[in-house]
Amino acid sequence: MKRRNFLQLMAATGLTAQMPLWTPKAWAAAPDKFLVVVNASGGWDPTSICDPKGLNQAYADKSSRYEGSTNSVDLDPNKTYGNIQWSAIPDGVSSDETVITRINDQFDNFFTTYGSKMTVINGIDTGTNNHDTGNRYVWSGYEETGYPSLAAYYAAAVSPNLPLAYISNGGYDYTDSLVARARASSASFINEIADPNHYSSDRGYNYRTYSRDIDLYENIRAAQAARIQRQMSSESLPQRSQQLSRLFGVRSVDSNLSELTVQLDAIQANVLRDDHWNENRAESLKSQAEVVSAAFAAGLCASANLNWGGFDTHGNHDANAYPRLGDLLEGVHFLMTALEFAGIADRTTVVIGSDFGRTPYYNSGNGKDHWPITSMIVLDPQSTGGKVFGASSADFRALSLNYSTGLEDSSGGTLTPAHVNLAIRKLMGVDTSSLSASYPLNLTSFNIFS
Amino acid sequence: MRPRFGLLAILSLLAFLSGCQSEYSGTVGGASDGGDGTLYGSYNPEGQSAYNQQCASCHGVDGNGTSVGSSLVGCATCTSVSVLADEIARTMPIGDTGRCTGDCATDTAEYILYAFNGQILASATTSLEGVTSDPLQNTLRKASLQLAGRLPSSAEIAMVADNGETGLSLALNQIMNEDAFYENLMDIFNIQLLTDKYLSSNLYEGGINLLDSGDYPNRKWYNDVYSADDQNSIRGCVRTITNDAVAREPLELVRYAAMNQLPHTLFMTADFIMVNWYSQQVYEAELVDPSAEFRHLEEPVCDADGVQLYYDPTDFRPARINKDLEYEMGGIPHAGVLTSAMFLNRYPTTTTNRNRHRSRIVFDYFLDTDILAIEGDRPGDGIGSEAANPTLLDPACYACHQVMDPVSSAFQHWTDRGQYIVTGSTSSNRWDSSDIEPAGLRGETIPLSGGDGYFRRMLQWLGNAISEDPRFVRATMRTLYKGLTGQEPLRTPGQSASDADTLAYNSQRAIINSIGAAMVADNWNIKTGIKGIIMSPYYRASSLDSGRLVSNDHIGASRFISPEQMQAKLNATIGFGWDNFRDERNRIMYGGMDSDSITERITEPSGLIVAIQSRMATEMACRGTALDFVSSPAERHLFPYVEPTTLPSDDNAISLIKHNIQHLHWVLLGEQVAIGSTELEATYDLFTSVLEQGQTLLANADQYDPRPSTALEWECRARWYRQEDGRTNGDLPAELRIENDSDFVIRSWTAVITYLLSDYRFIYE
Repeated sequence: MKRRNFLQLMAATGLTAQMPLWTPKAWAAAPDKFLVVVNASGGWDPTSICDPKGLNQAYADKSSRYEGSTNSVDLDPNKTYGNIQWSAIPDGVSSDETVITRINDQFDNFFTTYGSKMTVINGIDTGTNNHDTGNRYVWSGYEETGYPSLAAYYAAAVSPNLPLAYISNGGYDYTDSLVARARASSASFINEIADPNHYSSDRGYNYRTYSRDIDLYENIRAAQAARIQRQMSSESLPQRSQQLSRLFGVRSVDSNLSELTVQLDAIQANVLRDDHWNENRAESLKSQAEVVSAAFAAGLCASANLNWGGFDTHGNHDANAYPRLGDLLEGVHFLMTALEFAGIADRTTVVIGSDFGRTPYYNSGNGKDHWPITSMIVLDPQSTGGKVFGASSADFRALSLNYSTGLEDSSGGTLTPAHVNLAIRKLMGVDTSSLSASYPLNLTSFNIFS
Repeated sequence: MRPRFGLLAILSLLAFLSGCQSEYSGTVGGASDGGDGTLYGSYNPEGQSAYNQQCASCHGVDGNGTSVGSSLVGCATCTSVSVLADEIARTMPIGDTGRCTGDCATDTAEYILYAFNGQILASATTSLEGVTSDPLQNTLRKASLQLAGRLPSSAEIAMVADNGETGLSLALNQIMNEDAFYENLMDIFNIQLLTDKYLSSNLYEGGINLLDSGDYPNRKWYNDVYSADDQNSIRGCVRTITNDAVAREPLELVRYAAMNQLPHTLFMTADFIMVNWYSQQVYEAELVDPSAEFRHLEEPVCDADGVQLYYDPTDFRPARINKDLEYEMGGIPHAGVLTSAMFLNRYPTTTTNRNRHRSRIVFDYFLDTDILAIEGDRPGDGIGSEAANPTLLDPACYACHQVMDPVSSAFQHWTDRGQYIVTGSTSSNRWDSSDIEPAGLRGETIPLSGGDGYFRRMLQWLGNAISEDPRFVRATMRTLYKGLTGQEPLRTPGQSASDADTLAYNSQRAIINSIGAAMVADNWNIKTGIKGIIMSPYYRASSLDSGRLVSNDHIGASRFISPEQMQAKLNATIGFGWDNFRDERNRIMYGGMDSDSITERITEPSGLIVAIQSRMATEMACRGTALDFVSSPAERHLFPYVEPTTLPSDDNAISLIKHNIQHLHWVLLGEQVAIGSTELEATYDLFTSVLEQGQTLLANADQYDPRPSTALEWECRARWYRQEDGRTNGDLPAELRIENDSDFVIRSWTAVITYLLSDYRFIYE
C-alpha cells in the first residue's frame, strides 16, 4: 500500500489520532552517507590488535605469565602502516601452524588493505569494566542510560523514515524511540520471508498464477486488513490500541523486502563469502554484512550495528581472542567488499569498537579480565589514513592527551567515548542536528579526524 | 505430533463459549484479604504534627508532592527510619536545615514511612473501578500458555467452570508444578540478571572460565577424565552441560525454592549453591544432603566415543563449597545469588569503583531503590568539591553514598572476578575502610568482631537483612510483574504528576503490595506472587471506562510474544512448532535475546518482524491443516467438527463449519465469538470466498499457469509426522496420508488458518 492510500485509509477509519509518532512516513531519500558500527562484543583486547605493547613485563608483580608482560608476543616492526602498529600473532594461539598463518594473514591483509582510510584511536578511557555500561558509553558517548546509540542517532538525524532505517544485530542499540530498529542478521532468512506466499519455483502456498492476476493470498490480506481495523475500532484498552495501531501501520507500508532481496541476491552471487578470505570463517558476520550492504544499496537503511561476540576472554585469552579478532577483521573486509560491489563503499564509514579493554597481564587461567582502556578503529573514505590518534601508557593506562595532536600532553585531557562519539558525529555531519539539543555532548573536542 | 485436545475438552470449551464474567475479589491466598499495614512501623503523632508544620506545604498533605516538592511515596530514601531521618536532618527543610534534627527528624521519618509508604497502600483497594476483566477461562488460557506453554486441559477448564476464582486458583496451582513453568520462572529472573550470557551458546566455557583455576583446579574436569584424542565428542558434550550448569546456578536457586515450597528469600540467604552432577565436580562441592543421589535418566544424556552418561542435567541439588580455596580455608560463606560467581562477574567492580556498581544493582534489583534518583549533585566531570574525601564529607555526595556505600563495603571480600579473598593488611585483596562507610544496610552496621562477628561473611548478613526488608518484597514483585506483563510498574509520580497519574500509581502500588504481602504470608511462596498478578486487573483487564479511569495506559497486559513463546504456542495450538525458530539468528530477528550482546527483547514489530509473522503463518497453515485431519475428530487440534469433504451445501454443514470457526477463534486466539457475530462471519466469508475461487480454478484448470491441481502442494500434504521443533519426524503410513483436495476445502481452511495465525491476538498474548 502506498503512503497516500495508507493515510487516506487511516483518516477514513478515524485512526490517525492513534498513530504513534514513529509510524512510517513517506519514504525519505536514501542518505548521502551510511554508517556501520561493528561491535566486538564482550570487551576486546586492544593490545592484541591495534595498541600492542609486546613483552614489556609491565606487571611483573601482578602476574607470572610471560613475566608479567602485557602481551605474549613481542612487537613486530614490520607490522605497520603509516603510524599504525598492529599486533603479531603469538605462537600459543594454536599448535596448528595453519591457524597461526591464517590469523596472521587476516591481520596483515586487513591493515595493509584498509590502512589508507584507517584511523586508529587509542587510549580511550571508558571508566568502567561493566559490560552494559561500557557498551552503552562506547556506542552512545553517554555513560548513563537514555542516549540513543551512535548508529540510531545517525539514522534518526538523516533518514528516520526509511523502512529499515536502523538495522541492529546486537550491541548497544537503544533508540529512544527516534527510529525503528530491525534486527537483520540472516541473509537466507530474509530471502525466505520476503514473500510470505512463496513456494518453490515461484509457486504460492496459497494458489497464484505466475502472472499474479489470480492470487488467493490477497483474500487473506484483505481479510487481515479489515479485521485489524475492526479491532482498532473496538479496543478500549489504550495499550492494546497502540499495539494494534503500530501493527496496522507497519503492515500497511511495504517495507520493500523484495528490493532488498534483489540487492542481496546480487551481492551473494558476486561477493562470495569463501573467497574473502577463508572458507567458513566469520559466517555470521559476513551474513550480517551482506544484509546491511544490500539494505543500503536498496535505499532502505541509513545505519547499522554489526555484532561479533566471543571477546570476553577470561580464560585462555590467546587461543580464544586472536582467532576471533582475525575473523572480526575478515568480516569487516567482507563488508567493505560488499559495499564496494554495491557502489557505496566511498559513502560508508565503518567504526569498530568494544565494551572496554582487557587487563595488560594474564590471569591464572591464561585469560585476561576487564580493563577500562580501549581503542576504536574507523574506516572512513574521506579521511587521511595510516593515522593513530591518542595513546595509552606503556602499562596500558589512560594518558592526558593534546586536543589537537592526540599526543601525550599534561595540559590536555583524557580521551573518553564521549569525545570519540562527538568526533564521529562531526565526521558524519550530524553534530549540529536538532537531535544534538536532546542528546548533547558538551565537551572540548579532540581533533581526531582532522 | 501428539493428540492433546480431546473431545471432553472441546465439549467443555463449548460450554464456556456462552461466557461468564467474574470480577477479581482480591484474594490470592495468604494474607491478601487483610493487610494490616505494618510493613513500615506504627503511627507517630509527633511525626504527623512536624510533617504538617514543616513539610506538607511542599510535599503535600498526602505526601504525593506539589509543584515545589517531590512525592514521598516510594521515595529513594524512604528505605528505613534511620536513612530517611538522616536525610531530613541534613537537608530539610530547604533553606532552614537544622530546624528538624534528632527526635524531630526521627518522628517525621516514621510518620512518612507509615503514612505514605505503608498504611495507605496496604489498606487501599485491590480492585480497579472502571475495569472489566476477561472471563476467567480466558485468563486460564492466557496464563496456561504463558506459564506452561500449553492450553488448559479439559479438567482445568471444568475446574474453573465449576468453581470460579477458586477453580482458577487450583488450576494455576497445577500449571505451576510443571517443568515448563520452572523454565519460564527462571527466564523471568534472567531477563533481569542476564546471567544466561555465560551459556555455552554464547561463549565457549563462558561460565567455567569465570571460576578461578586456583580455587577450582577441577573446573575443567572433563578435559582430564576424557582426555584421549578419540574422546573429543564425549568431552564436548560434557563440557557444554557442565558449563551451562555453572552458568545457570543462580537461576536454579529460584527454581529450587519454588519447586520445594521454600521461601524465595533463599535467593538472598541460601547458604549453599545449586549443582547438578556435572557441576558438582567443578566446585568439588559437598551435597547438603550427603545421602542424596543424582537422578539417572533411562536414555543417556551424553553418548559418544563409547561413553554413556545418564545423569539428569536438570537435577540440581543444594551443595556447599567447603574445601580450601586458593586464599581461604574452609570454602565460601554462601549467601544466595550475592555470592554467585556468575552474578559477581556479570556485575563486576574495579579498585576505584569499590563495589559501588554492585551496590547499585543490589539496590535496584533486590531493594527496589534507584540509587541514582537520590537527590544530590553528581559532578559531571567526576571531580566534584574540594573536600578531601567528598563521598564522606561533601553533603552533595554523601546523600547518595551514605545509602550506597555500606552495601559496597559488604562486598569487600569479593574481587572484581568474584573470587573470595578476605581483605586484610597482608591480604592480596586490600580494602581501605577509612574513606568509605562501614558495611551495613539501612543505617545498621554489620557487627564484625567477636565469635559471632560477620567479618568473613558480610554478605550473609546483608542477604539476611535484604530478605527481611520490605523493599525486597517490592523488588521481587517488580521482577515478577515485568516478567508476566512485559511492563515495569509505574514510576513514582513526579512533582508535576496529575491527580489521575498519582491515583493510578497509588492504586497499582496498593494492589502489588497486597499481592506481595500475600506472598510473604504464604512463606514467601513465589507462586503466590505470580498467581496474584495473574488474577489482578492489570493482567486480566479486557476493557475499561476511560471516564472513570483517566490514567490507564498501563492497564491490560498484552505483550508481543517472544520467539520461544511463539514456538510454545504453536505447539500448544497446532501440535508442532516452526522449524525456522530452531536457528538462534532467526529468533533474534524476531525480537529474541541472547543475554549477551542482545539483552533486550524487541517489543514493537518492524517491517522485518511482520514479514516473519506472515511467513510463519503461511508455512504453518500449509503444514498443519491437512495433517490435522489425519487424526480422529476428537483428537484434532483445529478441526473437530468438519472433514475435508464438508462443503457449505446445507444448513447442517454450514453450522458445522461455523462451529469449527468458533473453535478456531478460541483455540488460536482465545476469543469467544458467537455464531452470527461479525468476526465469525468475516472468517466464514474468507473460507467461502477462497473455496469458491478455488473450485472455479479447478473447473477451468487449463486456463491458468501453473495449472491448478486437486493435489496439494508437496509441502502442504499430510505425509509426515512433525516433531516439536517443526521438523518432519518420519513418514505417515500410506493409508493415513492426505495428499489430495479435490473440493478445495483443505486449502480454504489453510487460508483461514493463515489469517488467524497472523492475527494480533495470536502474535500478542
